[in-house]
Amino acid sequence: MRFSRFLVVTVALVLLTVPIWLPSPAGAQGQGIQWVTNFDEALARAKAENKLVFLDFFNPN
Amino acid sequence: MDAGTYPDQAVIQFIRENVIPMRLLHDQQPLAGRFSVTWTPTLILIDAQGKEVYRNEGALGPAGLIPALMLGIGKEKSHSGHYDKAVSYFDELTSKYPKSEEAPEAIYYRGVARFKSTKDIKAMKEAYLQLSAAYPGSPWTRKAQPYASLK
Repeated sequence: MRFSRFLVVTVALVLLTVPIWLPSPAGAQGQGIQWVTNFDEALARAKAENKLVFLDFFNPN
Repeated sequence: MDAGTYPDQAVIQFIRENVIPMRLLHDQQPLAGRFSVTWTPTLILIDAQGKEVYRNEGALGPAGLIPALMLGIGKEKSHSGHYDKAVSYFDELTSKYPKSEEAPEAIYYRGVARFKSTKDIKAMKEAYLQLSAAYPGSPWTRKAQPYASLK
């Protein structure tokens, strides 16, 4: 009985930590381009990181 | 560009390391008006003050976007007096993308950056010699031609 309770707790802990091991959706997105959506933020980051802002005016249709 | 250019790993890495990327709808105001966007895609590089430093209209593949951005960044570095960094971008462009349409222009502006840095006009003659050897039919070779006769 005590052993089975230990087993249940162990399995539960393993299942709880599985999401840490697996690539998260955010992690998967991190492999793509992280587009900034706010112009002021883009300018602030450009200044802080000494980079240029790349603007892509696109037509989704 | 969503299908082939932006998923490309070399594009992702270059953008991550060199620019702050922002996407906007072509008619998103007030920025579309501010930057006089009349065609899509319009790709613009701006500095931290919001001043436009480079523009391209029309879609680019991975082998077109990276050298275009390299050229734009290199020219901005040169204009802002960071000549060594400008030369570095131009060198990388011409070595990695020698067949790109930006390569001859990069050689020309590499000469300009080197001249501004050293005050030695021979930098422009060297640019001409490089251009005439590799890109004899390029408009940038013709633009550098006046420096050919320098001693």
